[in-house]
Amino acid sequence: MLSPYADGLITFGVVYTLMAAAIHIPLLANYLLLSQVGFMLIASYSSAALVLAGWPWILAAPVGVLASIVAAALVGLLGLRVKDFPLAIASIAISEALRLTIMSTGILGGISGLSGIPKAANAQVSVLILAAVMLGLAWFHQTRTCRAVIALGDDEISARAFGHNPVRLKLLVGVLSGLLCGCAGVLYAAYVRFLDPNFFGFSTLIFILVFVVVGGARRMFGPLLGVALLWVLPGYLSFLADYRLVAYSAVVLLILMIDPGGLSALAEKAARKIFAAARPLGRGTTNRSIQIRSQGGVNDKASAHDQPA
Amino acid sequence: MLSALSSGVVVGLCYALIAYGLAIVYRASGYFNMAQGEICMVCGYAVFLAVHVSGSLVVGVAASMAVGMLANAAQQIVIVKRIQSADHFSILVATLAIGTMLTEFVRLSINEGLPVSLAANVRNAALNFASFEQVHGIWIMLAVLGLALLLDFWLRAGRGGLALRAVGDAPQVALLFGVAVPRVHLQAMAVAGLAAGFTGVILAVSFSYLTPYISTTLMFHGLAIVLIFGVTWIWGVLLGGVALGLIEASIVLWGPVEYRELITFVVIIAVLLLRPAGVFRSRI
Repeated sequence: MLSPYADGLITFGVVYTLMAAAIHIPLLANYLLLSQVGFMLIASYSSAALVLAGWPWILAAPVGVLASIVAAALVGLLGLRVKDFPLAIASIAISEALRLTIMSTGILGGISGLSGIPKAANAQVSVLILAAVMLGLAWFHQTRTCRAVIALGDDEISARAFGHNPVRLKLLVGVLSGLLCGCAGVLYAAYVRFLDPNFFGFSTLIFILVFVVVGGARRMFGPLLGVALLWVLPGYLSFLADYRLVAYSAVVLLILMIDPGGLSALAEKAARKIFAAARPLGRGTTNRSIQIRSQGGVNDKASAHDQPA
Repeated sequence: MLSALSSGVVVGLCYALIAYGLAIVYRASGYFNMAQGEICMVCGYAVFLAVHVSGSLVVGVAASMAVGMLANAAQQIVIVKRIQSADHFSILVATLAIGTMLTEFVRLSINEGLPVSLAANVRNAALNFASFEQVHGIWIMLAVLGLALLLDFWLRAGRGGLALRAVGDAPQVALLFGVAVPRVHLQAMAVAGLAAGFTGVILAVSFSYLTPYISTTLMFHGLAIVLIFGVTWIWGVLLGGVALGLIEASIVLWGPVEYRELITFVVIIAVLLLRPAGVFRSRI
């Protein structure tokens, strides 16, 4: 039986992992879509409003997720007109506008928030959702569609020349991002039981971006690694509470200066070096490495580089 | 009404200066410095602390300029230079992280993050200096106009400005022609720091109080102006800032105040959707 603190830590960790994964997917296509917090807001508020109107969670949750997907698809269409930094700013502006709509108009509790939401989630449910999402993400990374998305990010013109449809792919990444934000939003609403519009602001986006960057923006397990390192572990270091954001920012800058690919890229490179060094000579060597060795110039680095991947 | 509108113009000039700082760095280096708002906030606090210690606004102004230029230069030398070759997303997040560190540093070290403001007599004297009828802050408008003229001349005719435009357009070619590209990047950051220093003075004098979190909204306004009015023409940025300031003042005067921020964001999104290349179709 988990303590309430551990229960909250794990549930929030899963929510942040889902959100980080939602940012990771568009980044595969170099698509700076950053309105994920706004999609999460839509999912949270729509599912919570339905539950408060008498719907069971089993029906309200899919509606919340669907609302997030529709919003993401619409915002994804924006990416067809606006690119790079302007897209990042426009998408953040959309997210802020959604939050300000609730705060300014007073709907769904307005600035006071939406309370009285019946609880329907805990750490066990969160972990099951996370497991399903990670399996889905792992499957997606193996598909041709994912390779097409990555190709689009590398060079849109070449991707188009190879027959990939950028419009379809951008819409797809938007929809997938919306799906993950929808799951995160519904999980969040089902756990916290009170929705504060201030949670869905710019500072939450920065928080999630930190996890993405530290873990590795373009690696499948990057979001999970980032959250595990920066959210779950420090959860047990309460003395850091006041300095948490300073520490996170410092870690982000350090990681970016060492390797912009994040911790997962560093781990990957380290693993490659270890396996390359551990591989015995004579296994998987090329003719060139045999030639170098036969000439008396045994150069471990050269033979390691000559090995087939 | 005149008083409210003149305040709107002064606030709009504040947005314009932030936008100019963003634009000049973008032109030279190709990225948006997301910590520009926080640098402006730190400059505002520098004015507050300098006035608190010395009692003189002139010292505060000097302190603000110095802090702005040094902070931006330090940011370029220590951090940005090392990650300048990384992708746009990494640079975006790095500058956001720098901004967050600055906000937290101010929150933890000055007045426990609670709002601060200049002494009432200093603030009123500054606002009423060279005022006419109900139009306040004329000296601020003239100072910003003077700065804009200077920077426009430097960008068009000065060697530094020419080098900056060359590096922004084609850094490899500029390097071949002997332009010291890292130094140009540093110069651009220093100029942006100067603009941040001016902004800090306006923040300290015109805003009722300063908090460490004042920068978020300012940054969005600055970014909106840059995206809508472009990066190539300082007068477009000034015009945009003043327009935005007047729109907000009008909403406060005649419209629903609680919708002020929402209307601003809706305008930003609408213009970006309808004119993605910007109002003056200048390069982004």
